[in-house]
Formats: sequence, C-alpha cells, structure tokens
Amino acid sequence: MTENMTENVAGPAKAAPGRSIVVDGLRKSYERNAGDAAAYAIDGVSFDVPEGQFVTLLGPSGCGKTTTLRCVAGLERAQGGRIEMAGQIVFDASQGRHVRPEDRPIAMVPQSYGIWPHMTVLDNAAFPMRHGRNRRRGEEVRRRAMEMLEQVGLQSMADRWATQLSGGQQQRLAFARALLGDPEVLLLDEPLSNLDAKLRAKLRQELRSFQEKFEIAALYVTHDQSEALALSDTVIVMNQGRIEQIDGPERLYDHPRSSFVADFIGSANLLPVEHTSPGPDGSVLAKTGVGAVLCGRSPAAPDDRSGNGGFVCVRPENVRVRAADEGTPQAGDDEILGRVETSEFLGDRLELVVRAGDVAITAFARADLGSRPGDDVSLAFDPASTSYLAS
Amino acid sequence: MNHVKVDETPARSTEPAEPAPRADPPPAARGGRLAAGTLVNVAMVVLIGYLVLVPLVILLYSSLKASTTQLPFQVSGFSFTNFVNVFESSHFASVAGNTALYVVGSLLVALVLSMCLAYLMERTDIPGRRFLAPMALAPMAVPVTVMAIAWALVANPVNGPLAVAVREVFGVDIDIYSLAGMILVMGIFGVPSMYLTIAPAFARLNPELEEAAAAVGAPLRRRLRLIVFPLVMPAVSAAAMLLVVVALEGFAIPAILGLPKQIFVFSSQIQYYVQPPTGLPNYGQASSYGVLLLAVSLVMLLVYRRRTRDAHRFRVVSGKGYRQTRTELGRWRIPVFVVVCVYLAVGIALPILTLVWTSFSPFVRPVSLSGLGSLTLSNYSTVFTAPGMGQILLNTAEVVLLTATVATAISAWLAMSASRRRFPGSTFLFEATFLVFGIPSVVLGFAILFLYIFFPVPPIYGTVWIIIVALVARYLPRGSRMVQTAMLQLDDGLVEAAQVTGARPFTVTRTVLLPLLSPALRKCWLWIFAQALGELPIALVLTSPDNRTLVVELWSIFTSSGDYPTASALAVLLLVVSTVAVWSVNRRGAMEES
Repeated sequence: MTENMTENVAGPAKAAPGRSIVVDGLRKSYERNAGDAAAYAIDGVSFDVPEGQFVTLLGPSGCGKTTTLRCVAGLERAQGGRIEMAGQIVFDASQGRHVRPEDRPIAMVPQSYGIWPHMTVLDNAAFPMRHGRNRRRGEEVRRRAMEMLEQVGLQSMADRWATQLSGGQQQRLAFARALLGDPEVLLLDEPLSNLDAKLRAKLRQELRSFQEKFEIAALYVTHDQSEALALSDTVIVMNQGRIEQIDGPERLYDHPRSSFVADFIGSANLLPVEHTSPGPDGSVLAKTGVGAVLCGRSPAAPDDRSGNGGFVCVRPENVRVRAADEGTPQAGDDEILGRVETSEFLGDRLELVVRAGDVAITAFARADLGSRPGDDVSLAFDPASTSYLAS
Repeated sequence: MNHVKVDETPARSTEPAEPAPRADPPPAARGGRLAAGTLVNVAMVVLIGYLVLVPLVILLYSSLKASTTQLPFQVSGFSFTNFVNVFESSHFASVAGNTALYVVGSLLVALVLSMCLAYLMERTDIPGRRFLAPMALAPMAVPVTVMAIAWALVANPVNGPLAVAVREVFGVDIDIYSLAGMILVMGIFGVPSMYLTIAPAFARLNPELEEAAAAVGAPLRRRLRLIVFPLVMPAVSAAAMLLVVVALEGFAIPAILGLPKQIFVFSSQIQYYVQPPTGLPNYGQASSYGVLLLAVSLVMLLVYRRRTRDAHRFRVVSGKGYRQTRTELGRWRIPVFVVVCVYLAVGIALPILTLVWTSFSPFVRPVSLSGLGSLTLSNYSTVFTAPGMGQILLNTAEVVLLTATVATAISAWLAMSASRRRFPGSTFLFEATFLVFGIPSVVLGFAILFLYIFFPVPPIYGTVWIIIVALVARYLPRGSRMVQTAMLQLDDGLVEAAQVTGARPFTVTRTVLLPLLSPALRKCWLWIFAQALGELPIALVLTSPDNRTLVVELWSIFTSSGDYPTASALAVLLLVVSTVAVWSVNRRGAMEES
C-alpha cells in the first residue's frame, strides 16, 4: 500500500509522446493458480497504439485478442505486464496498480453494441454526458447528442426506442455514444460481426471515415482478415496468446514473418523445407519436395538463412502457370512439373490445384488457360515474390 | 483533461454500491465511499449468513439434545438419543411408510397427468388448446391450503358433492380423509409446475424425428415409446425430483386431509410434535425428524442440480424454423377432448366451485339449483366483523408486503453480487442459500422459533417480524435464482458499455442494470407475494395471539371450530388475492414474449 502511495505521489512514469496506448508484457491466465505450467490466454503481449491511428488485433478465435482488449479496457485484470494510456499508467502488475474501467479515458463498442433497450436513442447517446466521466449539464447535452446523431444519420430516430433500430443503426448509435464520451482511445470488439456481408462492407468504410474525422486512436478486434487489411494502419496478428507479427497491411501480406501469418492472411502455398543455404543478394536457396526454390524474401539475420526446416511461401497469384505443351517441358531449377487435380473457373481467373510430387500447389491462372484436371502443367515461382519462413 | 485516478485495491472488490459522486472527488472522500460500500457488503453477508446458516445450525444442535419436554437449550451435553428413539419406535416405521407412499403416489399421479396433458397440448391436434392449457395450469394460482380445504369440502364422505355423486352413480364410497385422498390432491396440485417443465421439452421435440418414425410405418404407440419419451426424459426426471421435494415438505395437504384420521407423514408429524393438541411439545423428536427430512430433501436437490446443470445450456436454443406438425388424433379427437374436459372439471373446477358455493351458503350443502335462492353474504360479514379480524388483515398485509419487498431486494443484491463477483466469496454466498431450499418450511419455522426463544435479539418473538424473517429466508433461494436467471440472459455488453463511459458502479446499477432487470424483479415480487400469502406451516409454528395471519385463521377455523362456511369465505378471499397476483405475473410474461 505505502509503496503504491509513493508511486502515486511521484506521478506516473513518463510515457513516450504521441502514443495513446502502450501495452508492455501483458500476460493473463484464467486458471486460478497461474503457475509455471499454467496455460496463458495472453502471454507476453506488447504493442502500442499511436495517436490517431487505427490498430487492429487480428487472430483466430481463442487467440487472446478479445482478452487483450478487455484488459486494456480494464474489464479484466491481467496477472503480469503494464498498460499506459494517454501518458498515465493504468495497469501495472508489479505495483499492484489497476485503474477501474470507469476511470480510464476510453470508450467501447461491444460486440453486441450494448444498446440499452429501456432508453430512447437520444438517452442512449447522451448517457456518457449525463453519467459518464466528463459530465455536462443543461441544453448542451441534448444539443451535442443531436449533433452527433446527425453525423451518424440517426437524428430522425432520436426519440424512438432503441429497440426499434436495425442492426446497422444500432451499430452507428453505439459508435455515436462512444464518441460522445470524449475518449482518448476507442475500443471496438468485433463490432461488425453481427451484420450481414453487404452492410458490413458499408459500415466498415463509415467506421474508418469517422475515426479519421474525429482523429481518435482506435483499437479494433476482429477475426476477419479482410476487415483488418481494409481498415487498419497497423495490424497485430495474434495466435495462441502471443503476437506473431505487427505490421502495416501491405507488408503483412507481402512479407509474412511466419507460416501462421502467411496462411491466416489471404491464401498461401506453404512448402515444407528440408534444408536451406544462403543464396545471392541475401536470398535463400531452399530445398523442398519439388526441388530447390530461390526465395528473394528472406529473414534479415544471416544466421537464419541456413538451417533445417521452415517453409517456402508463395501466394497463388504469384505462381506462373504454363501449359506443359506450350514449350519443351523441362524440369529445371525454376520450373516445376505437375498435373492439374482440380480446376475452377471463377470468371476473372482460373483457380488450379496442381499436384507436384507429394505437394499440392494452388495457383491462379489466366482465365483463358483452359487447363482441365489431368493436364500436365509447369509452374514457376518468381524469386522476388517468394518468401522463406523459418517457422 | 482526462485525469486518471489510481486505485490500489484489487479490481474484483472495487465495485461496491456507492453513491454517485460529483466529478473527481478528493482521495479521502473516495476512500470513505469505498468503506461505506464494503460496510454494506459485510452487512449483507452477515444478514444472509444469519438467515441461511443459523436455522440449520439450530436444527442440528437441537437434534443432538436429548430433551423430551424441555427446550433444547436447557439440556446439557450432546447425544444421539433423539435419533435412537426415533428409529426404535414403531411409530417411525408407519410415518416413514406413509411418507414414502404419499410421495411416490403423488409423484405418479402428477407424472401421468402432466405427461398426458403436455403431450396432448403440445404435440396433438386436440381441439380447444388455447383454452385447455391455461385451465390445466390454473391450480398454480390456488394456495395449497385453500386447495386442501376445497377438496375436503368436495369429497368428504358425509356430504361432499363429489363423494355423494360417486356413491349414487358407481355405488363406491370414497373418503378424501385417507392416504389415497392425500395422494390424489397432492398429485393434482403438482401438475402445473411439472407441466411447465415438461411442456417446453415436448414443444422442442423435433417433429421430424417423430415424422421419420411415422414414415417407416411405426404406429403411434411405438412412436411415443421409442422416440418421444427418451427425448423428454431429462425434463421429466428434473421435474420429478422437484415434485418429490415439494411433496416431502408439503404440510397443508397431509395436515388437513391426514390428521383427522391420524395419518402422519414427516412434515405433519413434526408440526404435531412442536404443537401437540394436548400435552407438551417434544422438540427433540421434532428436530431429529427435521434432520432426516432435510437430509432426504438435500439429496434429491443435489441429484436435481446434477440433472439440470447441462440442460441449461440447451435452453437458449430457439425452435426457429420448426414446422409445428401435430399428431392427428383422428376419430379419438373428440373422446380425448371430453376426457380432458372431465378431468379439468372434476379435478380443478368442481373443488373451487364447491368452495365458493359453501362460502355463500348458510351451512354445508351440495351444489344445487334449489340452493340458489338461499345464497347469503353472511359468511363474509362474519369474517369481516369477527373480533380481531382487523388486526389479522393488518398482520397479513404487513407479512406479505414486507416479505415480498425485503426478499426481492436481498435476492437482487445477492444475484447481482454473485454474477458480477462484487467481492470474494459472493458466488459461494449465493450457492449457500441453496441449503435453505432443502429445509422443509415446518422445520425452518421451528428452527427460527428456537432461535428467538434462545436468543431473543432482536426481541421479535410473537410479532409479525419473526414470520417475516422466516419467510424471507425461505424465499431467498428461489428469489435470487429468478433474478440470476434474468441476469444471465442479459448481455454483458449492456453493462460494460455503461461502465466504460466512466459512470460510477452505483449509477450503472441504477440507470442500466435495475431497469433491465425490472421485469424479473416484478415477477419475483409477485411470486413471493402469492407464496407468502398461502404459506401455512411457518406462520402456524410461529403464531401467537398478536401475529395471526389469514392463513392461520383459516386453518384454525377449519380444523377446530368446524365452521366450514366461514372458513370457505376466508379461503375464497385468499384465493382471489393470490389469483390476481399470479395472473399478473403470467400476463407480464405473456406480454414480454409477444
């Protein structure tokens, strides 16, 4: 207690400027006695959310993304690590410090929106100003709430019961309510997952434009990779309680750092590697079941470029397909012979699954290629778009 | 501008009910409010522990005190003498035998009736379902004491209209004052609660399963046996366990229908030991019977919980997209309909009609057209002008209103603390109230009686408050579970969305949680209100000249003075008030569903 008091008086540690949230070494187990062998729901998660940026936690269900968000909100309490928010420490396990959710400068849009059915639309929106941390009085409450409802296109519904709103309108109301709390950080927990596909795409754009307009930092949780890529400045890919990679959407797609990321974001051919040796210009020559593959994208550290195991990753759109009778079929270093297993015509392209040796490779070919199952084709990988992943 | 306040105490324990603050109070004020919140929590824990655990301890304690005529506290040392005496007496064998027959018999009656009704209403094309189903549930609105008296009037061997009719038509003598009579009445009384558990299971039955069997040519009988019954078994067995517990502790039926012929079951035996018509009470025997009864009830309840634990998970599944196809009864449609109508008329309508008829009659007589001319209101005027009646009505009003209000308030606090884990041990406290569920109300009544004789602080012995304390303890488990069920159905996001705006826990509770729970709270209040009104054994065991309630008055008029018309008038009064309460519970329920 005394320790904490001193810490309190001494003031919070200096936070780096320009960062709305800093999460450092967060760990949480749902087991009662979190011993060494305990399974962690999140295990050593560190990241930060710069001011005004849109950051997404992406991962399959059970990867710990929602738990992380709830720890940031203060709705759950981690066993280890530290969270800073707007320059103040709001959670520090080593000091036993935990700021309650109502005292953190946040707003949240829960998965189910949390629209109160016993209030009108206006009452819902005005709740943060009437009862929240930045309380206001008098006419201003109604005026600001109406302004915000107008922004989200709900001004005509203000006096209706909240239950009369459709799914998309509820989502907008939840967003308006969150913004009316004047938060430093907006937390969104899969807010689009309860909507149908068309509405989801529309609201996705709205969400992003609101966030940019109000210049508010957002931490967004989703399991939908296309949502994450479309919305975010930065994507944090999580798996089994750990962070796999933190990068911008393009880099994440082009330069996945692990086979998990490659497979989770978009589709990828992952060829198991027997052993590797350094190639020219920092590239890697990987020996796979279909022969040696030259990978232009490779780990930065030279030590990682030679060894055993790992995967060659190549996206289907980066596999060049040629009918085997177009030229002399030759099994060289850069060409792989295979036989078409399935072929699906998708209008703009032909999606082929080609068996070469004991691996199946997916490739997107020109729609006019006309390959049928059973045809022989030859495949080629472009070294510049082929990655070697150590894990 | 966003000043972040730091809080040193663990998060789990920092959500006390505290007054809403002005913005940013100084740390000292905040600590004060925290302390106040903790104080409220501690006070509630002590209160609930007192209501739940003390009666149990007192019961065990007095069962180990070898007393025959003294109060348990006047005996020194502990012994198993009481239990030895109980098991050695030949009387115990007959009481245990009666109890077993009574419980199993009424279970069978209730099971057969409610299964048939549920199947007919939910799965067949029997005509008039909209009207028949609520009729089958009507006994729910009848307090059990009133029900027992109505049956005593309708089927007593001397002049009960049903008994007379049966004797004239079939030449058979029937006597409601018998074990068979008790079984019949308890069975019919148990139908509504059982029906309510079983009917949803029948409704959920995927019709396609039954259709598949019909398509391969299995006759109706086989479809029932092979497809329908196995699928509804979980619901049926859960309902059966609960009925066993209710029958075991039920007092009014065995007392009103069994005592005249000295047919004892556990619950009536206990009351007989505590309040014998002559001589001194035998508290030792009463306590040991109480412990035995409690043990059996708890075992049944634990089995029930095991059975229903998994069932809850499937309750949310909606029957969306089900095509309700019903089995066609064909040429049996009308005969089956008639049989159901006869059951409803004889089993439910006739006793109530006789009760009402008697309440308007100058003396006990069969229902007849010729009697219409001499109907009178004099019984009601007798009731209202009887000396002391004003006090009795006042007592009753105080008891039911305060019990319903206090029990609902504590239940709400308990369920909210437990499901939001407001403080360490809140879940345990919630679970602990389950023990009271297993305490038969006669036993709870005299455990509270001992408590206030032995430890008269606060001095409420002989006042309405002692009855209120006992009734609150009794309805706490059911009440808190009603509120908890409603809480579980609330989406967490609704509360969390309010929390993260920065609203104080007290504000969140007041503006979001309580309004969302209000339908459940209202339902809980009305349910407890109706139950408390008809609850006989507790009021009876704790009665004294100053705290008589309507139901005790009814009991004493019916059993000692034998003035049946006046008793009927009183019973009709109870029936009317109880029906209004139960009706408004169900009307609310129906409105929410639509």
